[in-house]
Amino acid sequence: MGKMLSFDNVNFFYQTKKEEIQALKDLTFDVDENEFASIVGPSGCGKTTILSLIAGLLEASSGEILLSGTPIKDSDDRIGYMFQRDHLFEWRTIWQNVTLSLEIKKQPNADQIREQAKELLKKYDLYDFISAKPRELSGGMRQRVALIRTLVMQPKLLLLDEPFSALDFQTRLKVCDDVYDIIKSENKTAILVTHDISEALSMSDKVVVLSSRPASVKHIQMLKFNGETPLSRREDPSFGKIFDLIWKQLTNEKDNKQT
Amino acid sequence: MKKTTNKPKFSPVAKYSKAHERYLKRLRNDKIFVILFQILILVLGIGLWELLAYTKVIDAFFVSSPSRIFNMFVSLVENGSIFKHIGITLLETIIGFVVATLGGTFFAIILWWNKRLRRILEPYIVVLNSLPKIALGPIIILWVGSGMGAIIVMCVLICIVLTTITMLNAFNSCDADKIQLMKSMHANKFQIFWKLILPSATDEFISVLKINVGMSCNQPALSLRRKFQVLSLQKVRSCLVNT
Repeated sequence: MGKMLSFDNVNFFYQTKKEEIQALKDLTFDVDENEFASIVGPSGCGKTTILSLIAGLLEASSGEILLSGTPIKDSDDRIGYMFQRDHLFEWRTIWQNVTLSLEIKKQPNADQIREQAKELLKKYDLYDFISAKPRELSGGMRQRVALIRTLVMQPKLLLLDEPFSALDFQTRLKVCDDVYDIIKSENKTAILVTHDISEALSMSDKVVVLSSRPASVKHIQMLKFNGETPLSRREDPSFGKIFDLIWKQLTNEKDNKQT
Repeated sequence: MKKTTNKPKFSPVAKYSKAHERYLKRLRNDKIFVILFQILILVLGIGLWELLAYTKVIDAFFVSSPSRIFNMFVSLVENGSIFKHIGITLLETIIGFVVATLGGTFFAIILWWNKRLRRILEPYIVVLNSLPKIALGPIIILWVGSGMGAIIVMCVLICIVLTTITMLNAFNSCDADKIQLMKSMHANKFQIFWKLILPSATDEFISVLKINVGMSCNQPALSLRRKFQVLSLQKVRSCLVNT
């Protein structure tokens, strides 16, 4: 399995009127092809900044970020970004939302992509709603639409920025299963940013634990749980043990910060 | 052979429980009560106005009276001049409304597009908005004369600044994450504006239209009233001269 993404000693500073703040310090980690990686860390440590750097929305102050061996460029179409909230456009129908990226950037195989989008909508019981407006859908359905909208961009790498944080617990578990299924069946590489350790463990092949700001990699945990779905992976006997391990890493971080 | 259909049979009268019937009756009565009171307030208001003018508690020369307005309306309809005046008023309103709405929205787009220009012009727009436009009346009459042009310019001046400020606020209040989403889809600035900023400002645009319709009507309507007042004054003067 080749490397899909690699961070090599990446530093990032941002400027405020009063001072210059270092958000990331010598950040180094890799994500392999078709791997599902999660990034966890204390609140405000710079998790979303990492995704913005990968998406080309921000530029690293120093270091190198490579995607499939080549540097990430501004508006890189190899990357799809799914945000914390679904951000569906209320004035557009579900179908118009899903195909938004095709309107923005003309694709040579647009008809084929539209067919794939229809198939995904059918598979996840959303096809009957293609003419509906987003307000007619539940939170879970909206989030699935947002993921399909991201997949329509045909990205090599999917960035998921706490995509389930706005959902209630039951819907969250169901949508987690669906999103995991979509990503695995589409053979996508994904990076999930979350503050929920169990969510990270249940979905990922690898968890990257970050320190508090300036964020650097504190621990990388490879995962191999039994189970086909995130819900069934939670039942693996070693799940609790690894949860405790990562929890300790994060709480140490909090303790250190307080002292 | 007799045809049989599988259509379900619906009773022509919907079956409601007594409680539901009472609820519906209460809703109906409430609606009727509100409408009746609205009509009552209108009738009382007009009646009081007429009474006060008739008993000379208020001077009908300055505030008119419903019967005088009705008589004037009938005489203007009979000689056909009301249609000419309404036509001109409508034209002034429509021109003022369209120019102010489109112009204000256009300025708002330019200011949204160019952040630096927005920062430079912001204090001037605030000052322009706080300026009582009616105070510019004499200057406008000097510039464009006292006819239709002055009324339209006045109308545009009143509406355009408000339209610019409201639409610019609407454009700027668009969710920053949605803009990021568009950027992550590699949308250019025009696409972000056309597919996100403009549609998300629809509600504000509709409220601007509503405000502008009212404000655009004001100026020509005032001028229409002024025309009739001038006519009445001329009539009074000629009466005085004759006597």
